[in-house]
Amino acid sequence: MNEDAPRDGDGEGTADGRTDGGASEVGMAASGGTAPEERSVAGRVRGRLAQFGRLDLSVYALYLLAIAFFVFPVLWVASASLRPPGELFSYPFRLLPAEISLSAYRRVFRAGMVTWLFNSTVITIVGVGSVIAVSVPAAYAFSRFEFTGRRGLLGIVLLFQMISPVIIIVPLYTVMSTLGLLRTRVGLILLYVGIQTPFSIWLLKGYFDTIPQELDYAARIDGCNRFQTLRHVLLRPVAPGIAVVAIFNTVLTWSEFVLAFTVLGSESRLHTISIGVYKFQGQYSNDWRAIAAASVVGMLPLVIVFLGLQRYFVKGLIKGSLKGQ
Amino acid sequence: MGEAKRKLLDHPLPWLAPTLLLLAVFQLYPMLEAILMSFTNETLVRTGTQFVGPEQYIRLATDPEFWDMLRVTAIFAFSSVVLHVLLGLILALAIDYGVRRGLPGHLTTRVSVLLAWIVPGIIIGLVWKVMLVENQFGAVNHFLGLLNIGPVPFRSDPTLALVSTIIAGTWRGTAFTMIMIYGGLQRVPQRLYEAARVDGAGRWARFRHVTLPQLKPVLFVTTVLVTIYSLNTFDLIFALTGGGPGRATQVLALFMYQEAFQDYALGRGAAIAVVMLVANLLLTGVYLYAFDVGDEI
Amino acid sequence: MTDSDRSTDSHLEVRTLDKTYPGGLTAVEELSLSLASGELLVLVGPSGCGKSTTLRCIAGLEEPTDGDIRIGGRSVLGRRPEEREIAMVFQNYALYPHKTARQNIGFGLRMTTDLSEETIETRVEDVADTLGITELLDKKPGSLSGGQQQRVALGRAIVRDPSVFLLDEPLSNLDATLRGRMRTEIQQLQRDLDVTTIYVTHDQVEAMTIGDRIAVLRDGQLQQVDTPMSCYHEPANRFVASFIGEPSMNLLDCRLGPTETALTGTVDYPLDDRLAAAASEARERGVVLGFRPESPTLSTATDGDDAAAPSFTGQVDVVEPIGERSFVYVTLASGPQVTVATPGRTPVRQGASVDVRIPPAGVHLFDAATGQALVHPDRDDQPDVAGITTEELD
Repeated sequence: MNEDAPRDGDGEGTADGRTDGGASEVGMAASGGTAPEERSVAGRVRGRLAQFGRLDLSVYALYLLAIAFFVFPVLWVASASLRPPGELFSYPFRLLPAEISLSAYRRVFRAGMVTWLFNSTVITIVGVGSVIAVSVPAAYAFSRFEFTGRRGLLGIVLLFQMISPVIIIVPLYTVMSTLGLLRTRVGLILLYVGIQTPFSIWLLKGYFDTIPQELDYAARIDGCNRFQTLRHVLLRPVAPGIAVVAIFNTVLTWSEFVLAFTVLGSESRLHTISIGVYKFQGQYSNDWRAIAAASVVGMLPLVIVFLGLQRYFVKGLIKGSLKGQ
Repeated sequence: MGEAKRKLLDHPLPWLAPTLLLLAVFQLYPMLEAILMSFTNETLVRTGTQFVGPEQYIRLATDPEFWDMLRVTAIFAFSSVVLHVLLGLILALAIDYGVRRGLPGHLTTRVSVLLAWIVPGIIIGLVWKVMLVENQFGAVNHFLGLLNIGPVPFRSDPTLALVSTIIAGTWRGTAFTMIMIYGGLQRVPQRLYEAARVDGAGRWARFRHVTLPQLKPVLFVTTVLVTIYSLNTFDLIFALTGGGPGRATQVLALFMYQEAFQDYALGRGAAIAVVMLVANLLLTGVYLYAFDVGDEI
Repeated sequence: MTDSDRSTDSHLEVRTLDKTYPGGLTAVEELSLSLASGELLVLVGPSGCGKSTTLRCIAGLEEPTDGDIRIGGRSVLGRRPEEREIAMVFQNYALYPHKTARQNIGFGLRMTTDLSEETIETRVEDVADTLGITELLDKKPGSLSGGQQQRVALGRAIVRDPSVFLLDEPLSNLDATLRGRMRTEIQQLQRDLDVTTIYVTHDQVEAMTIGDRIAVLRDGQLQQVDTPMSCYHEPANRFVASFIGEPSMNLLDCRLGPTETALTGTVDYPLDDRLAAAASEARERGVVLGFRPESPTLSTATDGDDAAAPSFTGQVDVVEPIGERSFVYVTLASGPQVTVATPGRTPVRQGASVDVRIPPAGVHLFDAATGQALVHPDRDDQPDVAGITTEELD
C-alpha cells in the first residue's frame, strides 16, 4: 500500500489507464481498445472496471484505512461513553452499545461540566475577539506603513510565533503572579492574546498585502483618515482572513491546556474544559466510561463547529499554513 | 482636535502599541527572564534566590536522567517527524489524486484526518487511553486478540508506552503535514507533468522526477515545523502517560514542568527551558533560511 | 509656433517639485508644470520616470520634499487630498470591491460633505446618466467588465465636481479596442466638463492622441512640454526623439568632419549650410544624426533618381508589413541598422541590396554629449506620408 500510493497521487486528470497505460498500468489498459460497435453490455462493464483501475482501488483502500484510523478512536470513545455501567468490560465485545445509558455523562455533569463549558466558551469568545481586535490594526500597520525597524519587528513577531509557550511557562508563571493575574480569567485571556497574536498578525498581513494600495489612496481622496480607510474600505476585503484567524484561534484557545492549568491552577470554579476533564480523569482513573464521556464533552463543541465550517477551515488552513510561499 | 487625531493615526505606533505591549510582557520578558532564572537557584518554596552561574547547566549535563530524557525526546520527535511526513505525504498524494480523478471519498478522508487535529491535546491523550485499555476489552487489544495477539500492555511497558505516545501524536499531527503537502502539490505547475508525459515518463518517473523535486521545499519546511512542534509536545503525553511508566515517556517539556511546578525548582526548570529554547531557535533559524521570509517582510 | 505660453492664468501649477524617498531614491527633480484652466496635459515617460509620483504629490497622497503645488492660485501643500478639490482615477480603478457602483460613486460625498442622502443620490444618478451606467448602479465591481469598471471609476471622480482631474494610466488595463473607445470618451468627457486634467501614461501613442500638450519625463526630470506635434517634429533632445514616435527615430552617432561640411563616423553624411552651422555648435562633442523612418526613401541598387540626397547602400534584414505601410530594417554597409517606412506594397524583399537616401530636409541633429537638439527639419518640408499633409496634422 505504501509503495503504491506515492505513484498514484502525482495527479493527472482523467483517463490515465488508457492513455498512458504503456508505462505502468498495462493491466488495466487492455479493454479500452475495443471498437465501439462491438461493445456488448459485458464489454461496457469491463470497460468501466478497467477505467476504475487497480490504482483507484488502492487509493480507495487507503481512504478507508485513513478514515478508520482517524475517526475510529473518536467514535469508539463516543460509543464507550454511552454504555450502561458494566457493559464496557463484559462479554461479548460490542462496537456499539447494546443499550444507551447517560449515566457516565451524569457523573461528568455533577463534576462541574457546565462550569467548564461556560468558562471555556467565555474565554474563547473574549480571547478570540481580543486577538482580532489587537492583530487587525497591527497587521494593517505592518502592511501599510513604512517605518524604520519594520522588518526587524516583523522578524521578532515571526520568532515569537515559532516559540512554544511551554518553553517560557516558568517565567510566565512569575509574570502572571507579579501582575496579580494568577487565578483570573482576564489574566488567561491576556496571556492568550499575547501568545496568539504573532501568528494572527502574520496571517492577516498576508491578506492585507493582497489588497492593492490604490484602494487606500482612493479612500484618502474620498476623504477617509486611516481609521476610516480600515473600517470602511479594507475591513471587508480582509474579512476572509479575519474568519481564518477566528477559526484558528478558536481551536487553539478551546484546546489549550498547559497555560490554563498553570494560570488557573487550583481554582476549580474557573476551570476550562481541558483542565476539568484532566482533573476528572485523575479522580476516576479506572472509570473508562466516565473518562470517555468527559472526552466527548470536551471535543464535541469544536467538532460541531468544525464540521459546520469545514470548507472554510480547509481553505484557511491551506492559506495559513503555506504563508509566504 | 480632529487634526491631532489624524496625525496620531498617521503614525504606526498607535496601531502597534497593544501588540508591542502584549508581546513585551508575555513573550519577550519571559524569554529573557527564563535565561536569567536559569543562572539562579530560584525555587517556589523558599526566598533568598542566589545567582549560581552555570551550576544548573552543569548539574543537568552530569545528570544521567537528563540524558535519558533527551534520548526519549529525540526518539519521540524523530519518530513523530518521520511518521508525520510520510503519512502526510501519502495522504496528500491520495487526496490530490482523488480530487483530480473525481473519486468520491476524498473529502470524507480529508475531513477525517482534520477531525483528529482539532481534538484538544489533553483529550487526545484520554481518547487513546480509552483506546489502549490494557485488557481484552480495550478496543485495540480486542482487535489484536482476534489475531491472537495480546493483550498488550500499551501504557505500562516502557517501550510500548513511548510507541503509544508517538502513535497518538501522529494521529493528531498528520493533518498538518497533509495540508501543507497538499498545498504544495497544488502549486506544482501542470505543464511539468505534461512535459514529462511527452518525454515518455511513467507514473513513477513523474513522481520521482517532477513531484518530488517540486515538493522538496515544502517537505523541508514541513519537516522543520513538525520537529519544533514535536520537541515541544506536552499536553498529549501529560494526559496519556504522564511521563511514565517511570520516566519512559518523559520528554523535555514534561521534565521541565515537573521540575518547576512539582519540585518547585524554578531555576532548574528554567535551565531545561533554555535548552529547549536554543533548540527551537536553531530550528527556527533553519526554517527562516529555508522559507526565505526575508522577501515577504 | 507653440502655444505653451498661453497659460498666463494657470489653474494648476507645479513649481520646482522635488521628491526624494527616505531611502535616498530621487523620484522627481525640479519639475515645473503649468496648466491652464480646462487644459488636458499628458504626463508621459517610461515606467519609473516619476510621473505617478508627481501625480500622487498633486493629489496629496505624498508630500513633496521641496517645491510647491498650487491649485487655483493657492498652495495646497499640507492640505489633505479631500481638501484639494481633486479627483483621481487609478490604473486598476481601485473600486471598493464590497460596495455597489452606486455606493462607490457616492462614498466620497458621504465622507466629505453634509449633503443629504437624497442630494447624494441625485448627484450619483446624474453622473451615472452622463456616463451611461445607470443600469449598472446596483452591481458590484466584481460583476462589471473592465470598461464598465472604468466608467464607475470615472463617475466616482466626477461626482465630486473636482477642479482638477488626475488620471493615472486609466486605460492600461483595457484591451486594445476598448482602449481606443475609452480614450475618445475620456477626451470628450474632459472637454464637456472643462476640467483641468493631468493624464499619466507610459504609452506615447496614447499621449500623442489625447493631450492638448504632453510633458515628457525621464528619470524624474522634465524633458519637454509641448504640443504632441511639436514633440514629434521638434524633440527637444535625443530622449524625446527616440521616445515619441513609433517606430523610433533613427539615431546615428557621428562627429563633425575636419572640414565641418560633413559628418563622419557610423555614416559619412554631407551637410548643407544650415545643418553645418548647427553642427558646428557641438564640434568637440560629437553629433547625432537623426531622421524619422518616414524621411528616407529606398531604391534598389540599380535605379537612381533624387541624386541630391545622400545615399547609403545596405542590405534588408526584415520587412515588417503593417498594412498601408511597411517597415524595412536595413543594415547599412557602414554598420548601423536603420528603419525605413515604405508604402505597404513595397517590392523590397529580405536580403535585397538597397540604397537608403536620407534627404537633408528630414534630418535632425543632436549634441552627442548633452543630447540637446541642434537643429530640426523645417516643418513645411516634411515628406507627406500616407496621404496626410503636415499642415492638416497641426
